[in-house]
Amino acid sequence: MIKKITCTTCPMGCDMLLEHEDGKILSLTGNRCARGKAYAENEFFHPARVLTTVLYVKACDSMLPVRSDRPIPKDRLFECLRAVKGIRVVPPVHRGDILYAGIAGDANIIASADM
Amino acid sequence: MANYDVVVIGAGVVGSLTALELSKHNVSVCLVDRFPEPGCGTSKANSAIVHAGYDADPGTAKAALNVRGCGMMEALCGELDVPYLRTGSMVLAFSEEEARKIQALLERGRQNGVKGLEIIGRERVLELEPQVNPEVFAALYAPDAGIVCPYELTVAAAESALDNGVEARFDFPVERLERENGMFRVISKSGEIRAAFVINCAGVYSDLFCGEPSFRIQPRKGEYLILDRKYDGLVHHVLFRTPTKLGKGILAAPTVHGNLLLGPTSEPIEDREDTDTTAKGLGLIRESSKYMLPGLDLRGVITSFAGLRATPSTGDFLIGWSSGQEGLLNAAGIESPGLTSAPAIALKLVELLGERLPLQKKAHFHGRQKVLRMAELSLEEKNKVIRENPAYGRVVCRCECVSEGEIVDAIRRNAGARTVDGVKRRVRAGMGRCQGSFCMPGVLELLSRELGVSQTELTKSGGLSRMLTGTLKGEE
Amino acid sequence: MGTDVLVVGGGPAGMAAALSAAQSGAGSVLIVERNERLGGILNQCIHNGFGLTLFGKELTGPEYAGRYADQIGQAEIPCLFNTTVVSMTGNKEVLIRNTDGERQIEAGAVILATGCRERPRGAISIPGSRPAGVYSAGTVQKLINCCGYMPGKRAVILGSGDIGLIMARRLTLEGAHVEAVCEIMPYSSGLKRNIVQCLEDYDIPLYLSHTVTRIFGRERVEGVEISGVDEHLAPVEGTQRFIECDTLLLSVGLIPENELAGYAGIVMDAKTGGPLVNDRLETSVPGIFACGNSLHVHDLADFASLEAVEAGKNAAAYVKAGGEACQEFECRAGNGIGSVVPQRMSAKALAEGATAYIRVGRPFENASIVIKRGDRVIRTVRSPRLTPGEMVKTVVRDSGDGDLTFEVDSHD
Repeated sequence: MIKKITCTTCPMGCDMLLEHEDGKILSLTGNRCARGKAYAENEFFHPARVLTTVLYVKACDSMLPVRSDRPIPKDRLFECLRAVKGIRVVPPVHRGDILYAGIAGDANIIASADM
Repeated sequence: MANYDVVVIGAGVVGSLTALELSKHNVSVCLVDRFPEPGCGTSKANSAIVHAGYDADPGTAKAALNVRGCGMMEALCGELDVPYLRTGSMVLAFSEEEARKIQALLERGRQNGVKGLEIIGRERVLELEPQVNPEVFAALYAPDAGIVCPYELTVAAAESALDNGVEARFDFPVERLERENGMFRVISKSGEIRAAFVINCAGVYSDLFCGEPSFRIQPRKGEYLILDRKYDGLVHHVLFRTPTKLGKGILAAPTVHGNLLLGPTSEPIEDREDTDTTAKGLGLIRESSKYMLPGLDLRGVITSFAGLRATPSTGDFLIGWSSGQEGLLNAAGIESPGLTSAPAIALKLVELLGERLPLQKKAHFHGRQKVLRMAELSLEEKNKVIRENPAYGRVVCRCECVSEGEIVDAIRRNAGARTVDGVKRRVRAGMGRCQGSFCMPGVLELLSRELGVSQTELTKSGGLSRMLTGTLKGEE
Repeated sequence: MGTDVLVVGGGPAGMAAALSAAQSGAGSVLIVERNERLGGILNQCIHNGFGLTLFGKELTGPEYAGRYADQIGQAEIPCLFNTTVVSMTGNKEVLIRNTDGERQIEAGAVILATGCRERPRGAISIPGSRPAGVYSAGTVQKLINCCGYMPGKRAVILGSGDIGLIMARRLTLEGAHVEAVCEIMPYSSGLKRNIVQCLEDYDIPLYLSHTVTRIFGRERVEGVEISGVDEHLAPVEGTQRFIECDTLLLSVGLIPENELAGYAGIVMDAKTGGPLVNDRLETSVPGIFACGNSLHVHDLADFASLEAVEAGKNAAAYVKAGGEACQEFECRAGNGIGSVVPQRMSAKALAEGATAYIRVGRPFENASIVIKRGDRVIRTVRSPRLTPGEMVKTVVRDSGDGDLTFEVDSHD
């Protein structure tokens, strides 16, 4: 099986072709450097993304931007988002404060701004 | 059920000015409109021109009312505190044949009683309007033509009418009129009111209520382009092409706010709600304008729109008592020069009404409360205003420099703004080069606060035109 | 009222410029900001990806802004919030308005850091109706991220620049469905990373060489017609397709915000949409500098901030020592080049090494940007891939004579 992966490590954006079978990588082409290989392997085995969203803070009647402090497995993003939306924020909050610890393993949801 | 002496159907420029004229008399009046605010139909989307009066055939209602309306417009705009500019107009002739046609227009204008008309030669045209294509032969110059802001005029008239005791029912689309015991039932899906007399100013729908079976409206659509205010001063007069059988052609005119207006096209349409712009129409405007003004940079276009004209099957305005329906007074088929004629039509209607309903002038009539426009004030005056109300120090629309205070005032006045477009038309927030990208969230917030409704209820222009579909704030 | 350096705008450029001016000994520095806090558009850019160059970290917009705002606080640089600059003269008299009134500030030097705005629908004249539901992407970003409102349930996005891509993901995450992203060009001007993480992750189709040719719906958007375009970007008859949606997002370009420059009579560059500047980022009016997106639209906030550091330094030097008369040479955008900033470089700066920001006019593979004086090549920048979406920054050093021409040398 062939999977198309676009490297996002640098603006070059190499289009790579990753050949795999039974969850194992057989070959990789199209990468211009070693970083591409590392990216492709990571994207194949453990694709993960930083989650960012906003939460309504009733006390201030305004929106607080928040994010995960590390990438979250891609297939768990929506599940985590639902959990994050349940957070009740009580001001004052400072940039970097943990609002939800241990989401999708060892990631935390932190505030992106003061409020 | 509410009973009135008179119900005016349609709060466009004709209906609103008629209501205003009636408000000077001791009669009970209700102004109704299908939109949430006045001036949302033809009155908001037209060429905004005060025509001198050489277009209509002598002897027609159009000819008489145009010339009379043109003469009234400056004083009326002054009383209502809305902008008016006597720019003068030119009908440009680009061939000998067209030059003969403008000579005929001159004759017709003189018959209609238009003053100051003259034919000017190429040199004079180019001196007055250096951007005009130098292939021009001559022009018919009309010093009395001018420009207004048609929606500000309409809004001001409706507001002033309400200030003087007229009642209004908006979001009240009249479905039918029924006659019962010498009274009208004015029936809408949002309720019913009664009146002894009805004045029909229903614009593109005016044939539906007129009680004249042979009278029909065949609406015509006109598309327009608006250019950025940085083109202010490019064109000084209203510039027409020589009319053909197809119509008056594409014109170029400054607006009272310093934009440049190009258009209209003229397309007969069946659907009376069709104000869509088309690739063909916009292309035609670009092409024609480039011929008239070869140096024009069309990258300055900030928006396009289309409006409908209530073109009558008879070719002339239908003004007078209905022959088929007792107690019904018509102002139907008010197409161009309807805006110019509107003040004269309003007077005519009230005069006709007076034949059947005794009208007595009120002892007290209040002129419109002045609008505070920050841009018109001196530094000292601005500071005084801001000291008294800091909301005038908060700029909401950066392109047109409109303050929170000005927007709030536009919402709080009688017949005030209820929609995002309503705010835009009254104070120009969102009318500038970013077209509301920046200020729209702020305008929504102010409308919500002032009207006491959730932002998700607010519309662009009434009906189902909701701006937002949901909230991330949980409840609300 | 007066100040040595007045910075108009407290976004990534304005904050960096103010800090740099203060650190360079400008005397009194004042930031005028129309919002209630510093950060500008960064406050609505809640996604991560900012600050890799400057902070070595992937920050969100508010975090990036917060870090700078902290430094402004530590440096005790005064800021006027909720304050709009109404106008400005060539004598650096700046008229401001806020709830305290309208008043004039006389500045020794002015730094314009007013950012940019989005091109509206009218600028591209999409025919059809004019219902609710047609918004520029940045407006929607503000509505969702700052105001907490959703503008629609099913969206089509026109334009695949980064804002359009970012908003495709934001809408999806907040429960809306993005039907498609259309791009009139045969390539996206957005970062690859955003195509992967904002579109591919959520199976949102990207239609290249497609545009919206009609909007439907009288009250609220009910759908759009999209069409394929030919090599001249003209819609091809027969390729129309209807997509049902209630929202159309426009991400059709950014334009430097330059009303103030206009009032002051500053000479503008039609290519960038920003003022014409020399290597000190000084406009045609001595003592008025420009930086960030109000000078030319940058790819990254980091680059806007870095450029602003230079503007701050130069403004400080200007107030300390006054203007500097020096022979200047023109930087011309030649074959294949979209724009070059600065548009003028002094002999002195060229001798020491001056930074040029270059944008190509169309994509090139394995090409070089060649900088010449007459026939003499003074610098060649090779790149396997040049796109209009990515600005090239390079230092030009030469002690020769004559204007400079920037060209693309395409090897294919």
